[in-house]
Formats: sequence, C-alpha cells, structure tokens
Amino acid sequence: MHAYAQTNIQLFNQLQSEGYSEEERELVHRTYEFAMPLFTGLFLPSGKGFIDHLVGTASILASLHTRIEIVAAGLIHAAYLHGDFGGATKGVSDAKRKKVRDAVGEKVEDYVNRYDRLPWGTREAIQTVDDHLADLGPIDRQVLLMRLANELEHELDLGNLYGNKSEIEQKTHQRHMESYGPMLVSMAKRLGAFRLATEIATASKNVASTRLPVVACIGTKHRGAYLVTPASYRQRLWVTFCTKARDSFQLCLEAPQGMHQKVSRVQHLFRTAFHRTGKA
Amino acid sequence: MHSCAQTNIQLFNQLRQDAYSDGDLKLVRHAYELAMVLFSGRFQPSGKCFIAHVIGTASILAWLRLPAPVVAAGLLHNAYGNGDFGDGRKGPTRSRRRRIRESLGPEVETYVAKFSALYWERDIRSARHNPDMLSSIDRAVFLILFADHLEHLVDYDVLYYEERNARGYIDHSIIAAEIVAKLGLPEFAIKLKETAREMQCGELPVKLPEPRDRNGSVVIVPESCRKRLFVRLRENLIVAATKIQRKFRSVIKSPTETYARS
Repeated sequence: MHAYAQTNIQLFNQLQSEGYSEEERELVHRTYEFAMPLFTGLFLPSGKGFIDHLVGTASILASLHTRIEIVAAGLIHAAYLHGDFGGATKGVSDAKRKKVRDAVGEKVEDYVNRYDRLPWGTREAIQTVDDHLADLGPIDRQVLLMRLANELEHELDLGNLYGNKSEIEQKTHQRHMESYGPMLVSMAKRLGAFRLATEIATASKNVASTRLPVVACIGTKHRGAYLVTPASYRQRLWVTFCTKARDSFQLCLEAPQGMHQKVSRVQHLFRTAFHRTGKA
Repeated sequence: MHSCAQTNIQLFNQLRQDAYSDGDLKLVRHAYELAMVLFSGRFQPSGKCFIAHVIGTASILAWLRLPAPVVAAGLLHNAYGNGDFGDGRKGPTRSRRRRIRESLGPEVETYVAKFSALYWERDIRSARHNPDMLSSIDRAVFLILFADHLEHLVDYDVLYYEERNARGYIDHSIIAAEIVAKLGLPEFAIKLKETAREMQCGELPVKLPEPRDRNGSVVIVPESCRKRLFVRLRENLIVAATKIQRKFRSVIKSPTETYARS
C-alpha cells in the first residue's frame, strides 16, 4: 500500500509529522470542512470516493513540502469542475469564486481557479503545456505541479486502470500511459520535482505491467466522476430540469456536426468504392 | 501511516496480493457496490468518509485471512444501523434483509444481521468466559466487531469522538484483545493492545471545530439534492406516532399513580 493519505485523518497526521505548523494545519482542516458538502456522494469510475482522491492529491503535494496554500488548493482542486454548489451550472462563476474565497482565502482560490483554466485533457493540450513550460510564471508552475500530483494520484494505486471495464479498455489505457507517462515525468523534472518524477515513472511502469482481473472493476457506465445520491434523497426538480435542458440543447448543437461527419463518411465510402470499381 | 486499506482500490489490491480468488473478488466488489449506495454521503464525527471506515474493517478481516463472505460482511457491517435504504425506517426490516440476501447471499446477510443484534455488555461476557463455545458464525461476527474497533483506533479516529465514547472504544479494545488471544489470533491481539495503548497518549493534530454531535455518523447531502417526500412523510408520521404513544402512556400512567397514592 502506498504511503500517501487517503482520508482526512491520515492527511492531518501526515501534516503534523511533516512539520507543518498548527496554523497551517488549521487551514487544511478548514478546507476539508468546505470540501465535504461540495464533493459528498461523488465517486470516480473506479468506485473510489472522490474525496479520497482529493485527499491523496493534497497528501502528495504535502510530501513535496510545498506551501500550505497549494496543499489546501490540492484538496479542492476540482471544485469548479465537479463541486456541487447547489446549482445546475458547471464551471467557474463569480458567485462560486466568492464562496470559495470566503471559505479558504484568496490565495487558495487563485490556485484553484488557475488549475481549472490550465489546458489539459487532450494530448495536444498537454503537449502545448509541455512546450511552453519555460514561459510559465511561478504561480502557474505550482498549478502545474498540482496537476501532476493529480495525475500521479489517479495512477498510483491503479485507480484509472480499475476504471476501465474490459481487458481491451485496460490495454488501451496502458498504451496511453506508456506514451503519456514520460511526458509527465519530463514536466516534473523541469519543475524541479525530482521525487514526483520518479514516482510518476514508477507508477506508469506499474500500470503498464499490471494485469487486473475485470471482476474487480465496478459496474458503472460513467466515464467521469459521478454522484451516488443517498437513497432517501433526490436531485431538486429545478436542477434536474436545468441539467436535462442544457444536455438536450448541447445535443441539438452537436447534431449538425455529427450529421456532417456521417455524410462525409458515407461520401468517403462511396468514393473509395467507385475508385476500386474503376481500377477493376 | 497505518497500512489497512481505506479505498476500494487499496482493498482490491490487497485481496489480489493475498491470493483471494476471482470469485472472492467478485463477491467483495458486489458488497462494495451496495455499500456505495447505502453509505453515500455519510461521514464519521472525525470527518472521515464512513465508506473508508467499512473498507478499513474489511481490510483488517482480509489481513486475518478470513473467508470472502466475512470480508464482504465487514464492508456492510453497519448496514442496518447506518445504511440508507431509502425506506425511512431503521434496523433490520424484512425488506432490507431480503435486499442484502438477494445481492450477496444468505451467509453474508446472516453476519450483517447478527452484527446489528450484538450488544456489548451482554454478548461479550459469554464470549470472554467461553470463547471455545462460540459457533463459527458467532466467531466471525465477533471478529468483525473487533476489526471495527481496531479500525476506529488505528488512525486516531476515536480521538475525534466525545471523551466518554472514545474511552469506551479503548476499554472495549483491551477486552477484545484478550478474547482474540484466546481465539488463537495472537497478532491481532497484539495489534489491538498496542493501538489501545498508543491511543491513551494520542493527541489530535487539529483543533476540533465548533461543538457538534460527536458520537454518531452524519449524512452530508449534496446541495442540489433534497429529501424525498415519501421519506419525509414517513419520518414525520413515525415522530407523530411516537409522541401520541408517549402521551397515551402518560395518560394511562397518571390515573394509576393517583390511585396508588390515594
């Protein structure tokens, strides 16, 4: 079992043993109290509690002896993406930012906001960050460190591998890690976080070489974090309505593009078919 | 940092390393899937997710190399006490028992039901004096209880409870160590005793927030959710019925008392 915290108690104990002051520990405690209602009931596709992942990320940052504001920001790094602020809208808004600022202070909020804006998710986006790493300011370098800690936390215990439901999907993820891992390692090295680089390299190697039994994978179709509402509760009607309306609107917007792609595919098939017949 | 699992992934990795079979893994996974639904949003007084506590308990049971149904029962040990079945009721009702039996089998359900019926003062006395007389089911249920205690102690979780409650856990663990030693699990007994001793001089790494109920777990509901109407109605009805019952009893009692006094 790895040495990073997965629960708030383990994190507080770690902060104490790493020599963080009482005041600093209080900030993390306050941030955790803020995170509880924000991420309650949220799970990753692997079945791991989302809060455990947040604690793990903060724990990795603490083990690197980063400033306490960064550790606290690590604890709520996905606030704008997955946090439940009681509305149907996703992403950053002034009201949400104010709420975070009031709870944990301006510095922590700034890190979280910058984390949300950092382009990531596609290979091209990561490549762009990698290419422009030298141009990043000191704060953005810390934000990138948070991102790398997040990636390590996902891979460290094979969490992302458990999130894949078939052997084919697991192999695809392993191939992805083989190409994507070295990029993360190089970024960590360039940030001066050599311990983190080593850990990412080890985790990538571990992911690539592990064969997981599919029976251990949680049966969910979700690809990202998802809410398991306690059975005595249900989503507020207006939130359900707004979410469904937004999703339908998005579908309508995407439909012409999808149709266009389908038409081009059919055209391509016809062209190749005619080309072959012509040759014959 | 202690080494018992706190996430499902850590638990599955542990089971794989301990050579539990694919069938065992499947059973534990099903138990975890049910635990996710029953304990979603529930937190311990320390702020630790309840689900991490049940995973820790299951991990200790796996460390003792107990069979998979016992490990699975460890994941659901408090289902009838704290699980949210969405029926507005409490305890092991027939429908709840059926639900666990249908998803995990009668063996796991028996452990869970027996666990919920355990009463420390009454049951421990007999176990303490005649541990050899315990049936295999009772033995497993006691081990789940002791694993639950160890899990509370091992990461200083009990320090976040009210003092009386924390004291109770520590004292119980010392008795548990004695019974476990008699059951032929010396390593577990040492671990229980050592952790209980450590706990007596343990200190909280953070200040506790404003006074709040620090005895039981609580559900923190996502802000975008609200209680179902049916559950609210049922709960209100139960409260009203209890009030009426109490009033009725006091009315019946008072004439008898007047008569007795006269």
